[in-house]
Amino acid sequence: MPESTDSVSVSLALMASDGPALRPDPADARAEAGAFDLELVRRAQAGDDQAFGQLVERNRRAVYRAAYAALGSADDADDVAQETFVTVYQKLKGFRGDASFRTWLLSIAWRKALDRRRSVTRWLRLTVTHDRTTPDGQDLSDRVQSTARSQEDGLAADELHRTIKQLVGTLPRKLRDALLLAGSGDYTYDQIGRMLEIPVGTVKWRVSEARRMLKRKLAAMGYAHD
Amino acid sequence: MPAVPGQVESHGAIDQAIDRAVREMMEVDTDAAFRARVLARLETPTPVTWWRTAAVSAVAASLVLAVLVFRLEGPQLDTPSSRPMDAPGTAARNSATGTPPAPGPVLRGTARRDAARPARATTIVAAAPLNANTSVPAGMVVATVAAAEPGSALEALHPIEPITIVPLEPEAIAPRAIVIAPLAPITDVQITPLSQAVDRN
Repeated sequence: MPESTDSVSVSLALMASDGPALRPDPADARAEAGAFDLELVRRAQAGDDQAFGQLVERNRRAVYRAAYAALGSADDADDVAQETFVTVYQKLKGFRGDASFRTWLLSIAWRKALDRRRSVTRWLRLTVTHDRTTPDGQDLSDRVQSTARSQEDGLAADELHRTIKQLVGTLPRKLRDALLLAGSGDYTYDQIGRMLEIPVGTVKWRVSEARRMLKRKLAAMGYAHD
Repeated sequence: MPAVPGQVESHGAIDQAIDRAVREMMEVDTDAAFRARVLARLETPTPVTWWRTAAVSAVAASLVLAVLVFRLEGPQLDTPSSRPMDAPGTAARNSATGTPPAPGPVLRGTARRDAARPARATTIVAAAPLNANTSVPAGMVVATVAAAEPGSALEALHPIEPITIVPLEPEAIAPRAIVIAPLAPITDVQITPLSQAVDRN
């Protein structure tokens, strides 16, 4: 059991190094990080605020990205991430370790992000006529298509990436959530399933379906799709 | 692997482009002060908690006020029908069992509550107690008179003549004798032979 964050930092540095001989198994690294998280949780439960600060530091990016995947707004994601850690601090006494701390933390973050998204969506519905409609009344996917076709002389890979990013925004929310969470590389399928409260098989299907829809839209815009 | 509209792009290249685009979309992180903001937020009560406490306090204060107002402005006049112990049924039960009512006022006023508020003009109390030695015969309903409290603006009630109720005389029920007439004899049953079946058309 590591006694400080330094040992974890060392292990993470080893993970990040390029040497194949030094790169540990990702599953082992996750287990080690989870064990250290649990140790920090025990210390925080005993009243060690510094240990809780380390938990925040170690998990803030994963929490923030989950919130960002749901909300698409940096400010909202930051606020939700803060709320998540405040809630976790208040509920930390009740954490028994049945699931990993990170999974528990991400579940709370996702629920808070969804609550925020519902409230934001409700506000948008009151102010905007249609969710995916631009101010001039044009559907966003149509606009993406026309924009892409009008810039045929761009001939840059960035154009495709921009187009894909815009198309991701037009995906159904369930598919988009799964695609973004899986595509970030920060979460395992099991963690995503627990966050979304769906089986792992459903997560994989949603990711696959999202990709299929993206490729179909890209093909309709002139990009190859077999 | 540039991919632009109109160019033929391999399936793998599109997949890679999607992966890269999604990864870029999620390449976000908090700033360095995030931890400090969280810890600062832990030390200060959140506005939600403050509003919740204020709302609970307001509701509690409203309830207390409502109870106080109800006690001050509620109905002050006690009527016999509103007090089960003084209802006419009580006297009737006493008369049926032959138990004389206890000496003293039959109508009980709001002595305890009015003692705390003697200045209320609408309160009627049993200020005219009956003679403690009075014996009331069985079968008689006694009505007493409550006088107005001194200083009250209400006029005192006039005495009421005692009411005498004649006890009910039970009427015996004498049913008439029931006579059952003999049944008539049953005659023999005769069955006529069936006729031959007629061919269907």
